[in-house]
Amino acid sequence: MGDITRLLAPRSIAVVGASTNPNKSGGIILQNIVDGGFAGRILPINPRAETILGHRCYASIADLPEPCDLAVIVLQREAVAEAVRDCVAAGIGGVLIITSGFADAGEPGRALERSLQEMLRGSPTRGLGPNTIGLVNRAAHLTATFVAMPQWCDGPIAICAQTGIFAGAVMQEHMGQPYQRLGVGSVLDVGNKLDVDELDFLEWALADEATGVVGLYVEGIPDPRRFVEAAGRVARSKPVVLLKPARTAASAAASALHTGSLAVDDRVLAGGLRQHGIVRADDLTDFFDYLHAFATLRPPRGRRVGLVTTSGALGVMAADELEANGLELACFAPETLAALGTVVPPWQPVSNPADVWIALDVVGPRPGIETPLEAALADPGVDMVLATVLVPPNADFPEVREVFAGLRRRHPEKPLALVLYGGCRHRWLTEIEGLDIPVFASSRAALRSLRALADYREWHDQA
Amino acid sequence: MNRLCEPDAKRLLAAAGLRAPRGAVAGSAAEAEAVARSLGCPVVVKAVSADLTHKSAAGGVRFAGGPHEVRAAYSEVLAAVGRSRPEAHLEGVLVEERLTGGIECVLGLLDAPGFGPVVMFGLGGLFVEVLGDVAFRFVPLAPRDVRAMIGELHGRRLLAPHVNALVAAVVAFAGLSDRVREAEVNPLLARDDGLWALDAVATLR
Repeated sequence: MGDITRLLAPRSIAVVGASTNPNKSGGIILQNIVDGGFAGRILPINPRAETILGHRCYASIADLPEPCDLAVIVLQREAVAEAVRDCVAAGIGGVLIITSGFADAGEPGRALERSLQEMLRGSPTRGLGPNTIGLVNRAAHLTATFVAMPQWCDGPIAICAQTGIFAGAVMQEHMGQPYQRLGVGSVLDVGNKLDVDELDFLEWALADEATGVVGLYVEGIPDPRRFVEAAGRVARSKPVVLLKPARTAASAAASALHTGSLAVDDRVLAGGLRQHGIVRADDLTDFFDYLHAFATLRPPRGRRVGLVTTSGALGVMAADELEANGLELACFAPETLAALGTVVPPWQPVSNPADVWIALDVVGPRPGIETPLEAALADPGVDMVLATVLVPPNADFPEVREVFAGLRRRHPEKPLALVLYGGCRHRWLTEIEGLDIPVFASSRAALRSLRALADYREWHDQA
Repeated sequence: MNRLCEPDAKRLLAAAGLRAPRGAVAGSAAEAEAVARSLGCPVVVKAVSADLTHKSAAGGVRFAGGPHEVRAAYSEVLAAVGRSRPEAHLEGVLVEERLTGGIECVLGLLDAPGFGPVVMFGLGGLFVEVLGDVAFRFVPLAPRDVRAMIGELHGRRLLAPHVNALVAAVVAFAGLSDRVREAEVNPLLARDDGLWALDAVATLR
């Protein structure tokens, strides 16, 4: 069982079932591989074409001049077995079987999948899928999926999923955003996991220098203890965020139909995950938020939060949510209170949450937000800051990027998270893009992520 | 069958530093009364059988405020178990000091499929039956794992004065897993004077 580097960073790729028709999967995948800038040899396998997209076609795997690292198989279900047999015989490094209708589709499909596993067993050829949308690895310029992602945002996140959505439509929509995208370096859809599974991926991600944060979506875990311990080994150096549904019997049954997964006692699993420092997302929103938070913020040294707001109500709600998340409201130091006092009228008391809406009138929009944030971040009794900021036109100012870049540069070790409401929200989001300042949809979402960061730090420091 | 009766299970737990109330096994009503007299306090009278995991349900538990009530309790316990669980092999009756007060906890060890040995800890009594206020961890456990488990419980504030004692006890209990396939202490009573295993079942590997 070799490691899967050869599959994720291949020097050559064959596409078995490459199509001249740009609307068929076999045509789209080839186009995406080419458009992704893959620099190695691209080898379309199609007995009826001479070239596709300028690349010479081969009639079969057996006709390849030398074994390639990765063969993407996009054939009708009934033709897959022969292709896999050919790949094993040719000594191909790995097969990525896009085709569905195997263990995901009842007993005849399961039997077919078992026969594929038999073919791979004992050979050095690894198997990915079947029933997978493919994989992306930006460091290798590899986009072996059939969903086009023109605006991919590269970064330290590596995702392994038992679903196509993170290399498919959900990701396509997410990456289509103009800002606040996850920085994703790689995505692997393990599909039915006939061979390669998240354990292989974890081993790869731990060693991969481009990976700083790991995201996992799993439905079924055949050996939960082994999985938790493997993920825990990674968590000691890189945060691992897990989204695992199928917590209830009903959803486990749905999962069994989807990919033939096994249900796992979720309460025992939950305990083990906490024990091993794995961050658990409760839903897709958490998953995206936590990955974004871990990719942009350093886990804080403690649990004390400074709240800065330009809406009293948002501050009150955030204070409630903070407590519900097991975080602490920081006690501002005298210097911080004094600094806050310079931006509000003398009659307004200052505390945490710091409500500085009135600072707009007293000192103006820029100092009105910059002074309180600088003071809170500089406060030794504050471990992280959440700012809930209203940005109507009268709160706007030209130097937004400069202000936030400065705060981030001066206080890199303390998480700064934002929530923005108002007409200038889009402008502010554009201004701060690329500064590693996550903007959340709500203070509730922000505090969930800050809590996940704080819990991870606590676990990590005790490990 | 490697299941231990309550006194043997408690002896095993004692080796892991978990104390049980004072008591002794009696083979007759007279012996039971004598044990109660020597304890000099209200007692619990319990049927002893490796076949009984739920003694109260089988009618196998009675309280006796004083020694004069013990003979009757002894007979009632044996009669009740004889009716409800006639096949159970009885080894006598345990007469034990009755402890009150404190917080009831539950502490368990089991081989969970797919996970291997797992420890369960939480609030016992009503809380475990109705609310399931428990947490799990894989064996082996570190002290910080026990603290984290307590921190997960809804009723964690009740256990605040007992954290250090619980940490030591749960870690030691987990250490039994190489000899013990399954065990449960319910209730584990947390009082000012320490932790007490009021009842225990255990099955050896």
